[in-house]
Parts: sequence; C-alpha cells; structure tokens
Amino acid sequence: MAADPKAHALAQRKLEAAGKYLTFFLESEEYGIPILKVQQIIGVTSITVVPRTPHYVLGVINLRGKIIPVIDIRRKLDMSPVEPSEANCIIVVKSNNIEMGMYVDRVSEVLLVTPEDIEDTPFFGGQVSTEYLVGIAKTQGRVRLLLDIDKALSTSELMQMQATFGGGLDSD
Amino acid sequence: MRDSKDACAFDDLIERLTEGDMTELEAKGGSTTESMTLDDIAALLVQLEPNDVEDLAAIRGRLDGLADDPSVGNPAIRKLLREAAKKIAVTIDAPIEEAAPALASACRLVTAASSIQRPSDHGPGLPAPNELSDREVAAVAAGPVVVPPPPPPPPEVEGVPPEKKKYSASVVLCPPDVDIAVVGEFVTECLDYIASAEGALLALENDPYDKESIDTVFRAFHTIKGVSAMLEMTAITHLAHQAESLLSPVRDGSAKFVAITANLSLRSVDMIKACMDKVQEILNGGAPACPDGYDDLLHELAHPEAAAKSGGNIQTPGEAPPPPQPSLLATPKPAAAPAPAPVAAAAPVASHAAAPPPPPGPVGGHPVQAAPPPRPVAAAPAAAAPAAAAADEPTETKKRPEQRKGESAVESSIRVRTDRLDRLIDLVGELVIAHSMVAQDDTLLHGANHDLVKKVTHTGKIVRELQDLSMSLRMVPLKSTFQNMQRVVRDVARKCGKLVDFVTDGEDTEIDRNMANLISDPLVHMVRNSVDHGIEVPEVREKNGKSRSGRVRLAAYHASGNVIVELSDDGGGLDRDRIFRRAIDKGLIDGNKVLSDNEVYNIIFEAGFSTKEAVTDVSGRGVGMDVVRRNIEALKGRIEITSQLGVGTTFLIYLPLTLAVTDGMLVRVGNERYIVPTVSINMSLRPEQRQLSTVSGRGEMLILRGSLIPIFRLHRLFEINHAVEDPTQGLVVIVNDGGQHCGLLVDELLGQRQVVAKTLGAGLGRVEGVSGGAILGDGRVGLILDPAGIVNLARHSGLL
Repeated sequence: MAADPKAHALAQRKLEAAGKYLTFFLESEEYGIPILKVQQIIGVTSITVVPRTPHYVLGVINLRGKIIPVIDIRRKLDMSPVEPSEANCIIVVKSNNIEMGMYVDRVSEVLLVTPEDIEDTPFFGGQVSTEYLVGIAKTQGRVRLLLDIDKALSTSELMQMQATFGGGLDSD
Repeated sequence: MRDSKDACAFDDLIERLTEGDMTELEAKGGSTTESMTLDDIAALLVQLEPNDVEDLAAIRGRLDGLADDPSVGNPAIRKLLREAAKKIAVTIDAPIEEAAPALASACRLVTAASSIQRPSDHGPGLPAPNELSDREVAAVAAGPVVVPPPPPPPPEVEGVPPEKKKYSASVVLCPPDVDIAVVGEFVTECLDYIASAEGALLALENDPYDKESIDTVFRAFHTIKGVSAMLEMTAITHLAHQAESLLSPVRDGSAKFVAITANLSLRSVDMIKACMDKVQEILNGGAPACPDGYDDLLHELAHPEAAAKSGGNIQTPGEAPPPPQPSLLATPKPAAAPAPAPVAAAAPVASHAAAPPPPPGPVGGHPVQAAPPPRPVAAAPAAAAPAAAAADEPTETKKRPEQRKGESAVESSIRVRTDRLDRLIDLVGELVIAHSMVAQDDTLLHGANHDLVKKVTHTGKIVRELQDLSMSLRMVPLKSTFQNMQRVVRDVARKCGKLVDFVTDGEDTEIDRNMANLISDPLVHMVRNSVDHGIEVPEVREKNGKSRSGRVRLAAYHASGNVIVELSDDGGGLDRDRIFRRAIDKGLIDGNKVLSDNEVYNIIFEAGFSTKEAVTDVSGRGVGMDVVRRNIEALKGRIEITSQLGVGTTFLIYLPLTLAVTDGMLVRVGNERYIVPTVSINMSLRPEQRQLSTVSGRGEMLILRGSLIPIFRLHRLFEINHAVEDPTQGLVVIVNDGGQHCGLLVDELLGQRQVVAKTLGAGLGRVEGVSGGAILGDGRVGLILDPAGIVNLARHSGLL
C-alpha cells in the first residue's frame, strides 16, 4: 500500500508519455520525439555558423525566410561526431513556442507508443546522462529512447552563457 | 500679457475647459482667471488627474481667493470653497489612492457651492442657504450627489428654460482645417469603441453591477473624449464628457446603474454614432451642424435627475428610439428642440458678405473681441469657423473642395495584425530570392528555350511589383507624428511664456510604421528642447532685433537613401563656451582638451548634461538628449547638429528608409560572410606596415591621420580559420562605436547589400557581436555584425 502513490505517479507519467512519436537514428540508437512538436523535416541546407555559441549549436538556417537555429542533438547528448551522409536531415520542432532545427542522422518512422510499452529509464550511474529521456519504449522487439524535447532543446544554457558574456551591452 | 506663470497655468486650464459654455465664459471678461465660474472650476476638477499637481495648485489658489473674497456674498459658498481648497491640498501631497477620493470630494464641494450660487445669478430666486454646519459640509464632501437641494428653477420667462443652453451653438462638430485621414482613423476607431460600449451597456441592463462592463463603457467615452478633443471636435468631446460624468458615480460605486442611466448612455452612444455620420457628411461637403436632438440630449445628460423625475424623455423625431424602456417612453414630451443655432445660420451669410475681410485672428462677429480666445477655432460657432479659415488661409480653402470630391473622403481601411503583415513581407522577400535563383539557372541562361525565358521575365516583373507593394504596406506618412508636435509646441510655449510659430514641411514623407512610432518620443524631447531652450522669450527676442515670436520648423525629406527629419529653430543657438564650461564642471570632458565645434555640440547628447540653470518640468534635468541619441541610433539612424549663436540651431536626423531593410557592406572573413551596417562604417583601407604599431606586443593600432585607432581581428574574436592574418594583406574597416572609432580586420569587401534584418530566432537569444541575420542573395543566412558589441566583446575577452 505504501508504494501506491509512487506507482500511481508512474502510471500517470506513462499515460502522459504515450502517443505518436517520430523516431530517428543517432548511430544505431533510435530516438523518438512527440509528433505534435514536429513542424517539418527538411534536408540539410547550408548552415551559417554563429560565433560564440555553445558547441552543440551548429548555426542558423533559412527556413523559407525565417531564420532558425539548428542544434546538433548528438553533441547535446555527448555522442561522438560522425561523417555527414546523404540521409542526414533537420527536424524542425517547436518547443515552448520556439522553433528550432534538430540535426539528426536519419529519420525512421512514426510510431504509436501505448502506456504499456513505456518503461522507466534505468539508472546507469554518472557516466551515462539520461536527463533528456522521459522513458524507454519497447515495441516490436526494438528499443526506442523517448526524448524530452523541451529539455533537450532548452535554451537555459544559452541564457546562462549570455548572462556571462553579454552583460555589458544591456546597460547601454 | 502672459508674463506671470500663474496666468499661463490658468490659460492652460481654460483651454482644457471642454465643459461649460465657452462663449458665455469669455463674454464675461476675456481669458483671465477672474472669469472662471464655479461651474467651470468644477468641470475642470472633474477632468484633472491627481497628478496634475500644477493645475491643482492653481485651482486651489483660486478657491482660497474666492473663499476669502467678501464680495462672494454667501458665507455658505465660502465655507464650501474653503473646504474644497483643503481637499485639493490633501490631493497634492497624498498618495494616488487617497488623492482620487479627495479630488472627487473637492469636486462635489465646488459643484454644491455653484448650485447654491446659481439661482442668485438669475435674479431673486428662492433664498439659498446662508449657513452650512460643518456636518453638512462634510456630508457634501462625502456624499455621492449634490447635496444642497437645488432650489427649483425660477419661473420661465420665455419659452426656453434659462439654463437650457444651446449647446450646439457653441461647439464644433468638425473643424474646417481638420485632416481627413486623421478623422477617418478616428471615425473607424470611434465606431469600434461605440460598438463595444453598446454591447457592454446592454449587458449592464441585465447585470447592473458588472464592473467590467461599466469600465468598458467608461473607457469608450473617455477615449472618444480624448481623441475628439485633440481633433477639436468639441461637439463630440462635450457629449462624451457628459456621458462620462453620468457614469462616473456608477463606476465609483457611489451610484447605481439605473434605467435612466442606461437610457441616457445608450442615447449618447447613438448620438455619437449620429455625430460620426454627420462628420462624414461634413467631410463630403455637408452643412456643419450637429445632429438633431443634440441639445436635448446634452441638457438631459447635464441634469439627469430632472430627466428622471419628470420621466421626461425628450424623444427627438428621426432619432432611433432607445432600447425598450417602456415606463420612460410612455410619456414622451413633445420635442422641444430649439431651432438649430441661429448663429450657425447667420455665419455663412456673414462670410459671403464679408466684403472687407475680417482682420486675421479671432472670428469677426464673435462675442469675444477684447481678448483672443485661447482656441479661436474651437471656441467659434461651428459655421463661423469656415469664415475664419477663409479669411486667414485662402490657400487652405482652395485645397478643400478638391479633397472633398470623390466618392467618400474617408478612405476605408482594414486592420491587419502586424505579424501577418511581417510574414507576408518575409515571404515576398523569399519569393524574390527564389525567383532570382530560377532566373539565373544555367538552363535558362544558356538554354535555347526562348519561350521559357519570356515567361520567367514576365514572372520577374510581377514579383518585383509585388515586392514594391509589400514594402509600401508598412509605410506611413509622417503627418500624424508631425501633428502631435504641433500640440507639444503649443503647450510648452504657453508654459514657458514664449510665442512660437510652428511650421512643418514634407509631412507626406513616408517612413516605416514602426519607425514613425519610435521616432515620436525623441522628437517630442527635441521639440520641447527647441522651444524651452532654443526660442527666447519675446522681450529678449525683441531686444536682439528679432520678431517677437520664434519659429520652429520641422521638415522631412528624402536624401541619399535616407529620410531626413530636420528640426530647426531661430532661437538663441547653442552657446559653445557655456556648454564647454558646463561639461568641465560636470566632469564630462577634460578641460585642457581642444574640441571642435561639433564635438562641443555633441556634448549635449551626454547623459546628465544640461545648461539650463533651473530644473523645470519641461526640461533641464539633463535626461532627454542622451535618450534621444540612443533612440535614434537604435533605429539605425544618426543625428547631427549645426548651430550659430544668436541665430538658431538645426538638428538633422538621418533615418534609414525602413527598419526592415538595412544597408550593409558584405565582408568576408575566412569562409564566412558578414554584413556590417553601412551607417556604422566610416571607411575601409588596406593599411601599410608603417601605419601599424602594437602595445605590449598584442594591442594592435592603426595610425590614421594622426589618430590612433585600435584594430580588432574579427577572425580571432569569432574563431574563424583560414582568414588573413597579416593586416597589410587584408582590409581594415573603420567603424564608429558611439563616437569612438575602431578598426575591424577582414579579408575583403564583397560589396554593398540591402538586406532584410531578422532575429536569429528566440532559441538562440542574443549573440554578442551579432545583431541579427539576413537572407543573402543565394538563400543562405548572413550574420549582421553589431560593431559596438564587437568592441565590447574584444575589450572584455582580452583578445586584441
């Protein structure tokens, strides 16, 4: 009985996490992001490097007249870089009302994830960062890592960086 | 005549007097303070906000004066007035939440006093109370309604009750020199407000305690009052003011929203609508007259109790009946509408018959001749005003008929959300790029398909036209901005006791809508400064052999791809020595330095600088000009001063044509391309070795015409590989960063570009040294550099 609230919370989380996901590959790992957050998928266009931004910011692209930043999700997840390929693409997502591009190896499919499919992220200790995952989905015998897109693309680090660098101009 | 400060303040008060019968007031003895009746004071109090300290102080002084004046016979009146003066004194010191009720009670006290006084004005009426106990006075101050029972009106002598004024005779529905475009906007806006007020009123009938609806209605009347007052449409101002006053106690919670309130409010709404129709009619050449029933409605609004008591709902023929109020409609009085203003009928005749043109200035035939009314046009009877305009400005009248021709003088427009507009402009820009990519495709350039080339060229034409049109969507003429300045000049001139002629030129010049809004504040500052600091008082001007009234000119024109706004005055000019001394006193500059005239003049843009000895509420605090420069620079513009002591000062504001398009120089550093805004570039050069020197081996400097300019290497700041390392092989772009110069080392210049500046997206926030991005001709994003940011960055990062 004592575990009841905890179990309830877990069930609640699973229920919330369930839904349709767009999955994509980073190397051999398959990740999923909620499809409702996805705006579109575009091929890789020329990316303009923006100086003095965090290493995981690849730069900015022209999305039909709008300028949006592109983030290398590999670097964000501390994965090693790979050679670019034809399959690379940019998933344009909207999180917290901010449009951003997410540079991925290749997109896979749209997947329906039921609450029963979801399991909690196991704990790996300090070496493996799991802070950007909401859970793991096991469907059709495959493992998909469900990404917390709001957290993964959070700009709080950017803001912090600006606070350190950019204090000078605000006072003008 | 306007030398004492008090007189100025009161002049100001009288002009605010949209309430009360102006003609009557002026007839009593010109524009001096003595002519203010208690009614007028009460009306002023209603309109004043607790923070209008100066005006309140003036009123208080006047009330104290009256209270001590033995010629004011009735001690009860004096007592009430003294109490009111005390309340105002409280208002001045108290925090705002206490001030408002105090002001309201002061207002009630004065109203009460005036209602005691009034019957005696009309000869031997019923005896007014001569003594009032303190308790009674307190009750008046606290009470929601006028307490001393207004004695019944004296018996009517002629058909019209004595206090039933011919409101329509003393107000102007649409001044003749009004700007059609502005009125059009006003009408649209007004109808919006009216619609919401109407809805709210109907909701109030179901739920009389609905605070939100009351506020909506109140706000609608208040806004209409304000805007119409600005346009000098006193008829509407007057009406809206009365309607507002009617609702004021309901809003305070001191009165209930009853049937009569609803009825009158709705009729006011209808009347404003009728006025709007009339205004359009007038603009199309109709006769300037108030709509039927205007006088009756105003009369009822002014005396709602009476209307409620008699159940009298003077229904005007042709007027849309108010929403069902059966009990009120049951006993309609015959319409007692006085014949539309005899003055109005007489005036056009006068203007035709005016063989010897009336002297310029106040309207001929107007009751007030002795002293010029503060607002000649507004105060003049509606129809007499055109006569004045005809006499004063023949050119103006010639222009009018042309404007009035055509289907409808008021242009129809729709409101579009700006984000949609921006998106449209974005997409058109994108279309232009996409099209140029097609047009420059190899298959087209070298292909033999002549037909296809023709089709693409045709599309190109359409695209270009579309682009021009989309750019013009954001453009507005500077007219309304300039018109606001007119008011500023007038107000400041009166406050300072100066005579100023304000002239505008080129007000049809169009600039970006956003920019028109943003330029307004700096301009207000500058215009105030010109009048307050620049123009001398008439006596001084006369002594210096100038005309008594100064001249402030505001002009706008296009020159070399910029819009230039020029503000000039023929005042005292900038006193170089005085500025210099002041700046040394304030520690803004080093006294031993030799400065050019321009450098000295630019000191006035420093924060905290003011040569004015005394701080007034107009200017002199030393804030302002620094804000002005910063605002203008934020618009990617710049400001220049030329001045001659004793002759005048001219400010030139250079603004880009539009905020959306930035003129920039495309530069290359390594494999990256950046855009440097042209406004901040002074020059660029390839330095020779002998021009370069270093400080402690790192800080690089360029010696240019005797001055030392620090050089910052863009590739080091931005960590770009494969860039030119040797300054003698690259180019140094000299940029100015708020007065200081510095050089940026780049590889080469790629040429000038006009780009549409955009943000880098909220996800990235602000990036130091980069002000935004732009889509370049090849569809890629180019970053727009922010020179000031780069310098800041370089200084802080230690990478020199």
